Amino acid sequence: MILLSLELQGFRNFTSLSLPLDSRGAVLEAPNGRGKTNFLEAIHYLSLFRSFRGAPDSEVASFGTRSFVLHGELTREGDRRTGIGVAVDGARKRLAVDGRAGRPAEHVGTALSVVLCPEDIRLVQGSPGRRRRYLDVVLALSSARYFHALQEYRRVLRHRNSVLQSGTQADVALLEPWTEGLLRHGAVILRERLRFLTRWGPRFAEISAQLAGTSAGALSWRYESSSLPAGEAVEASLRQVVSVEQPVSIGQAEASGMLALPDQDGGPASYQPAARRPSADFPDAPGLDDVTAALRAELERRAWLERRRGVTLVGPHRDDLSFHSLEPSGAERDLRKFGSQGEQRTAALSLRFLELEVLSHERGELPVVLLDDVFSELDPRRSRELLGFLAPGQQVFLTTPKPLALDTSLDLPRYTIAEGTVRAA
Amino acid sequence: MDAIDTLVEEFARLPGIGRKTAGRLTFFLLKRPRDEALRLAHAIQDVTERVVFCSRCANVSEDELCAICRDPRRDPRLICVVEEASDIRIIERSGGFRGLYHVLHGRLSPLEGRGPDTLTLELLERRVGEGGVDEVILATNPDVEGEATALFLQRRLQPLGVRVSRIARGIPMGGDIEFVDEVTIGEALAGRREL
Repeated sequence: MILLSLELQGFRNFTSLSLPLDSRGAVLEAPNGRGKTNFLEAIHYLSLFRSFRGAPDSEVASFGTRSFVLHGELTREGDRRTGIGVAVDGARKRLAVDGRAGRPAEHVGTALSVVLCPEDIRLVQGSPGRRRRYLDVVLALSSARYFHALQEYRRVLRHRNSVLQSGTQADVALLEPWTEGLLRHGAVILRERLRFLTRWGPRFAEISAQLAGTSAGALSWRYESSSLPAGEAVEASLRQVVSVEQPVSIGQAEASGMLALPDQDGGPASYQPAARRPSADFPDAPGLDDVTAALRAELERRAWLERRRGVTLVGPHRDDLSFHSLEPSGAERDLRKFGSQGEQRTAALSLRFLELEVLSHERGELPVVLLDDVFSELDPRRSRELLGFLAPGQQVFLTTPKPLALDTSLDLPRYTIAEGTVRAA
Repeated sequence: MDAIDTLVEEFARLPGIGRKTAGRLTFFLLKRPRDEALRLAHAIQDVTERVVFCSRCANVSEDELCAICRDPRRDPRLICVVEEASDIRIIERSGGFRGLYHVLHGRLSPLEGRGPDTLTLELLERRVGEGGVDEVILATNPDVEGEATALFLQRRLQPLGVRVSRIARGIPMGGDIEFVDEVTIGEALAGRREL
């Protein structure tokens, strides 16, 4: 996807901005505090319709106001242009795609972008919620089924907690319908997460080794589930379900023509998801029953505690993801707690690159890459590795407080930001 | 508050009507002939004074029993349970259902403090308990709250010895599979039937 233009009104420090964009992207060079990150935030807002910094809309609106408007025009190769606009006024959020009103849930990911920023390190050292959110965003953007299950799950969960909070006397009959809803949608979420981790684990290891510059730097991940105490059995059965097809890297994907490149005759894109995704589509895979049974058993086991605590204790909303490095002794080290800053940063970067790769693969288009001051945290070798992960033709916007000292082939127009406007530098 | 403001306020309380539309409606009525506005006022008064709930199915009615419950051609062995009385109109328009209805007047929603006692559940259980009912069709909405309500009703009704079924969901008629979302197709496949 290429973002062709961006219009902002009342967004952070941009009172009114209308900017045509270069298909390669741009380098935004300006001292801190001018609003470089705000610009990236605006682009990404069109992707998920909320701030990647976790800021509420009231904070995103220019200081002292409650409303803002965003509009972007984007294009996919072989496809016509799409205009996507968001207008927020207080608690009200309106959305229009090509001039037609729509619900945010229908258009999440229509504009596809991935942000890399220094705060990403908190993916590794921060709370489990950040890691769940990572999985949820990647999977929701890859699968409509996951996205639907996630939305329904969250609603069921709030109802179920509300019943549990009504006291230890909460009627079993009142709780059951919500427990069933929790199982139904929770099992989809859980299975899809496990499947994702099994399938993309080898790539995560490769990417982390590449960033570390040594094969000893390869990292592994593990799903820590609130509902699969003896989780191995379920994971093993899932491993059989998931085919052993190796995930393709962006380079391979391009060579095979699966990304949205125009045909030789210049016709529409030749992306054929069905032919390249044999392992992702088993709507009735046996794994779902196993996962449901495991969830059910654990819910029953902890029922008394849930009543006492008045909150749902079992389910994908309580799960976590851990990252491990392999010691020469053969022992594993949990990087969340025992990783150095450098290792945690490598793990976080690997997650973001994987996100780029997974989305390119599942969506058949290249997401816009937003790099927020990432080079100041990286040594020159890692910086080069980072740029090496970008695909030819991928649009990149990067911010930097001082001129980049990178010797790269990255040829981007340079802009600077001052007083809420963006100009060619 | 003057008369105009009062009417604007009243309109603005209605679902789907904001203050702007409320103002437009008010001034529209002021411009129309006097008796036209009064007809509307009388219609509203009539509805509130004459419409009650059917003592059998809780549908809206002007008599003890609603028009559907009074109709001797309807099959009393079949009961279709809906969330709101307005749902009946939609099902009736299809012309495909010849049984009777039961209106819950809502659905389970613990977050909004809506438990089973806020629904017309006792009335339904009494109807089924009295006998003469073969099947109860649960036609609550296919969303989180509607599904939970259907399951709750199923557990309460099955012990009474009645068949309980749930309306099917899937691909809309006249729809093209190409344009149906993945989730709906998944549901349609899961709910397939043998031919």
